[in-house]
Amino acid sequence: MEANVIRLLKKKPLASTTFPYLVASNNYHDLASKDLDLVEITDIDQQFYEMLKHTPSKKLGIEITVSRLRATNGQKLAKNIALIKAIHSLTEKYGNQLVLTSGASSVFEMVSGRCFDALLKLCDIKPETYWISLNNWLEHKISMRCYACDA
Amino acid sequence: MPVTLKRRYKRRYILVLCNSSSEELISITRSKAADMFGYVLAQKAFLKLIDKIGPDLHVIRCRSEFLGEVLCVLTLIDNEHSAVVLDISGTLRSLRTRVVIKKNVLGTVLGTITKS
Repeated sequence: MEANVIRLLKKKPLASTTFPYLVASNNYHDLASKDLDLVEITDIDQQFYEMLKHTPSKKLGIEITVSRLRATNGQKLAKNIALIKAIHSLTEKYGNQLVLTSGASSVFEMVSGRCFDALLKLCDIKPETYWISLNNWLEHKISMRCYACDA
Repeated sequence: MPVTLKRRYKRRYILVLCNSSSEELISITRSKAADMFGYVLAQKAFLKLIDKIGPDLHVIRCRSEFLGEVLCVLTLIDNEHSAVVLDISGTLRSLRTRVVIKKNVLGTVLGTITKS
């Protein structure tokens, strides 16, 4: 069970760990940071696009949470959906990965696989290709690291 | 001329975990559907509350043609009334048989769902 859990850390640990992890940040100004694996998008603007374009391709994960989408309504929601579409095409172009997560803090905020697929279709993203590329990205990120032995 | 049967539209039954009341859930779903896809689609989806199992499990019916849109709506309901889609079925009978298993699992996870 523990082996299937990928931990999100704010900083890269100094020594090798026994568990798989990703270094995550919610500040997109950290895009240039060498150790960063995943960056959560809270607000998007032209500056983000420019930063993403000028960041050398290092298979960075761009995270968007469903809980943030839930907080929006009407026009803003439509804008956010268009934004996910734009980010997806941008990440494909620059060798990064879009990561759509639930951002759940309780059981009632969790999102099922079927709903993720419906959301992806709404954003004109093929669910099959998205899950395959996400799996490849995760495997690449996890297998790149050295882990300490338990025994 | 070949005689064709007048077929009824296909339906899908959705099992939803939500801690709001059933009436509240269906009215929020309808208004969110209208907000996202317009009143015409919200009407065409034929959203209907079918059953309530325990305090948190609700069964909603919709037209299979609009299942994707309904799932998006249920996913994007605001955090205050947030709903989790647990299962989807073509028949109410098969959904009910699966609910028994899911209820036991949920009971251990949440510790709140009462056995009926």
